[in-house]
Amino acid sequence: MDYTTLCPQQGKLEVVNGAQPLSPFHTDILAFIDDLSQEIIKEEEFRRFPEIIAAGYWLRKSAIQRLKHIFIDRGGKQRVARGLVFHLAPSNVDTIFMYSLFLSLLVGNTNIVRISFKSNKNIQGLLAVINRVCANHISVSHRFLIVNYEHDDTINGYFSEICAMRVIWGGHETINRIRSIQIPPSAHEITFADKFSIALINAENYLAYNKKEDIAIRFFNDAFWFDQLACSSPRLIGWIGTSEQITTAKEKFWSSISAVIAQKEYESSPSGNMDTYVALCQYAALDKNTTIPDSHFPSIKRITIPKTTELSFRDIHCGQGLFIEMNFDDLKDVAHITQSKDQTITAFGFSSEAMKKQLIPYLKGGVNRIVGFGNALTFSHDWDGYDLLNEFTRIITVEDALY
Amino acid sequence: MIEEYFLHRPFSLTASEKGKQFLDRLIVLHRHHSERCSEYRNIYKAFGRQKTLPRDDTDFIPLPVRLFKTLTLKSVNPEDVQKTLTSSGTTSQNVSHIYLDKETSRLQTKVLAHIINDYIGTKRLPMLIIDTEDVIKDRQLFSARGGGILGFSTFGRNHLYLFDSEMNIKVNELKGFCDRFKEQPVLLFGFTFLIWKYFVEVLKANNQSVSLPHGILIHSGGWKKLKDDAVDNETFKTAIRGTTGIQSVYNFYGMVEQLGSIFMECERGFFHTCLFNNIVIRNWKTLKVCQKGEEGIIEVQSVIPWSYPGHVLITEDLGVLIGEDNCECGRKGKYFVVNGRIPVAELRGCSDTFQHTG
Repeated sequence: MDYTTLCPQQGKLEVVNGAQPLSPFHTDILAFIDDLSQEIIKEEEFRRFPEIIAAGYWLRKSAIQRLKHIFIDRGGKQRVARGLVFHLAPSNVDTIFMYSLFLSLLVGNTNIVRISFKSNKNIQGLLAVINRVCANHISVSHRFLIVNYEHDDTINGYFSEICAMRVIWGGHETINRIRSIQIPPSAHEITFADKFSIALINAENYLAYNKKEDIAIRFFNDAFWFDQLACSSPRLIGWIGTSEQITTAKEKFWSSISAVIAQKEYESSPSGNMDTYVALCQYAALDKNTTIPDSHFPSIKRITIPKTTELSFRDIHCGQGLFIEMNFDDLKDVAHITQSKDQTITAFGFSSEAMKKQLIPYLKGGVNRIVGFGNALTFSHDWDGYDLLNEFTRIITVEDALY
Repeated sequence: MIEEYFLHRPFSLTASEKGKQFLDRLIVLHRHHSERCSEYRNIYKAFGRQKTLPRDDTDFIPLPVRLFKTLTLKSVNPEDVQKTLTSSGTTSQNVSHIYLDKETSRLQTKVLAHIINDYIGTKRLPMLIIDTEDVIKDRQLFSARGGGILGFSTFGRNHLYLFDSEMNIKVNELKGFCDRFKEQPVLLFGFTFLIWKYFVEVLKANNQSVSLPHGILIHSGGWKKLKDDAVDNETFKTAIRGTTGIQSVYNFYGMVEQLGSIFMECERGFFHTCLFNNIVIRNWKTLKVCQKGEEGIIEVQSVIPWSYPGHVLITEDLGVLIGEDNCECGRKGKYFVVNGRIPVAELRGCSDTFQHTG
């Protein structure tokens, strides 16, 4: 089979396939992850890649201890690893493979990870660090294999045949194509399809808030770290308030965002700029009630679409700095436009109580997480509606009286 | 009033002579499309421009050419659509659909003739078509390629298709054609890449040449594949001269979304606007008009499109305006170069692991 082993350097499929499951949060794994976290955080070359540093922090000792407690609180004592997990990582957010892999490794599984390799310098650097850490953790290095290959039904078929669980990150086309390849009847599968995310701003509270620059920086991170291509990056900005409040708030908000963009020297690519212009025209062409504000911020394109639109605006969107804006009366009003494709709501100026009472009961579908500004991209063990620690393990029940 | 255009030679008017008349025609088209094409009207409305007319030729909102791939854009009644042109594309989603009525088709033919006649004269010339006849026979293949051939065929007589079905040179027929017409002007037409790959390279590889010293070669099509082989316009021309003796080689820049009003290359190697078309180079970030000499995205304008809103389009090509009305070739109008497509960024994908790996 024609695949390239990226990590560990001397990794062998037979070795990984032959390794036995470990108990969840085994000390060998914890030691490996701790070393890895430290190596990532201190690596100079990652300073330019905040998403990798963030992954490093996510893996640090205290965070993993918290994960362990959550696992146990949710009944982890009854749970064991599944066995060999085959992960197909996404290409839009190139650090996701780490979360998928290390969560699965933590709970005792062995792993094969296919990453789509586009010679991103940051990912090469990351793989080099993992390789370095592997050298000091031989037994753990026998528990995973990171590979790269052009999608090939033979290779996908073989990994699918030997796995106990398959994890597919990808667009609809990828998921359908991979799903046509069988896994063993008893194997488990979870899929992470293409998603759409929303930011909600309470205009009145925003206007009253005095740290607008801080909000802008957090929004910038949410939206632009992955050129707005991450599923959880906000694409629709929902404004709640009176029309006067919204008008003033929008003005302040976007001018503060454009200041951050200028300060961070963020630039969209020429082709990305064309993609967003095409999408903008497409929205405008199809709904006569859209308005495109006269924008002086080249890296941002905005279009206001009425909340009553019949446009399938989620599918036309192509990331890269395009923001749909909608005005809402209240949270219930927002709930009405939601659908199964929706994933994250990044919110400012609301209480969690309000979300639980006025939004969640009225959702039409989707929405798996509601987080504050700045946390859109923060990966969680609860993702896309899955409790991953749970998904990566299976339950064994033992009755008390066995005689 | 558009008939008045044909009283002038296509490259004879300066900016000030052309200006008002050209803008007036674009405004006529703008009013027509605003009235008849809801998508066009909606775009102007979204930008807050439904009430004011464009002030000058840089003041239109250019529709992206890609929009013809995703939307059905037409400004005439369905029963008036005579034919639908499609651009070549690999998947069904990736094909442009251009709806033509009788008047738009008529203008396309007439404008193309007016431009080409300025280069080759008004007499029909013996014509060598550097392609296979299959492209016009096979309806499956009938696209921009077949349409281009049929459009240009009207300028020729004694047509010979150079290739058989397998894209091999029909050696005997070619020899007969050259022997018969070598003393007089002949027209050759084809697509740049096909000419290079199946004609020039084959002749070179076999150490062969033909002699058509009075030939005029007109060609078009993308340079992308040729650039991969490090073939630029100069290399192309030199190789054509070396293998065929043809001195007059003209590339043109055009697209299925604006058939007819093509931008012809001049003897200095620049593309020219004429009475029927115009370009605006725009900054890729702001879409503001670029200075002369500054690279930007090419917006193309044409007086022809009546049945579909294609009179002002933004392409995905990069180009540079070199000058206006003072090209050394003697033609008036803007002259420019095309630098290829906007480079596609190393995208982190639209979350599809398949799309960006192949």
